[in-house]
Amino acid sequence: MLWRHRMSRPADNPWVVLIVEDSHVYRAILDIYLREIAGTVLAVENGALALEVLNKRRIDLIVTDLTMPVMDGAELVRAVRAHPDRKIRTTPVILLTAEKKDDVLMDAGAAGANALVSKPITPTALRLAVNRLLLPAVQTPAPAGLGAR
Amino acid sequence: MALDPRLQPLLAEFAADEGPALCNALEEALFELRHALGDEAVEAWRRAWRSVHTLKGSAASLELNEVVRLAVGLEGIIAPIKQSGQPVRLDHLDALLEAAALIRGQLAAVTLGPAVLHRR
Repeated sequence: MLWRHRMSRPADNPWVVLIVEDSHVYRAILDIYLREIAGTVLAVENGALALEVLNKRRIDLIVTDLTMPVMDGAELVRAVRAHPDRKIRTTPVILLTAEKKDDVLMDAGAAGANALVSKPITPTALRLAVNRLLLPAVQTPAPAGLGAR
Repeated sequence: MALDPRLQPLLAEFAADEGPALCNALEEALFELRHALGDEAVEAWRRAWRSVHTLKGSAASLELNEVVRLAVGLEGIIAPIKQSGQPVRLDHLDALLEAAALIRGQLAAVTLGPAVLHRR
């Protein structure tokens, strides 16, 4: 199921962020925090559903939990990085985890995530990670005619 | 530190719905482990661990510190068993179920008030 969340301050930026998280409560927490940062926030419950969304529409950033049923966060990142479509393959990914074990974190990093943010998430940590991954793209002047992407 | 007021409605929702549902999933997996063997046992341990792990993560964000403490303890016990696949004694499973019941009590206290923790 795709959860479409309210747009907040849509004029601020055109970013479309996809939350991938099996916990309903955590999806809602991430939605609250991400609505302050991104123009559009979508959410799904696992990696397999995220791939369906990625195949259908433009996503600028994936924010995914690591531990999920069906397809977990590391599997999702591997699938994204192996995707035949270059735009999808290069989508930035933030992995969220309450896991502290080094081998799990290294595996998640090796899968190809761009950033790892520890749970419990704070709005500041999330904003920093999002800005680090997305701000350079909006600060670079787009060629004429490509403003709307 | 006080809970972000925007998260207050989610605290009630977690305590009433998602938290107890995760406790159910944990307990079901632990009950299954009384009989499960081989791959079924591995899968049941995996489900038990995932339920506890999700409980821990959500509870931490909602500052349910006692739930976090109990979930961290359970996770620490379940994680190595999940890896090794070793059979577990029934009295140890009962101890894990008791810890799950303590988490359930903490969640009920959010919904019904702290007095619920002293009713037995």
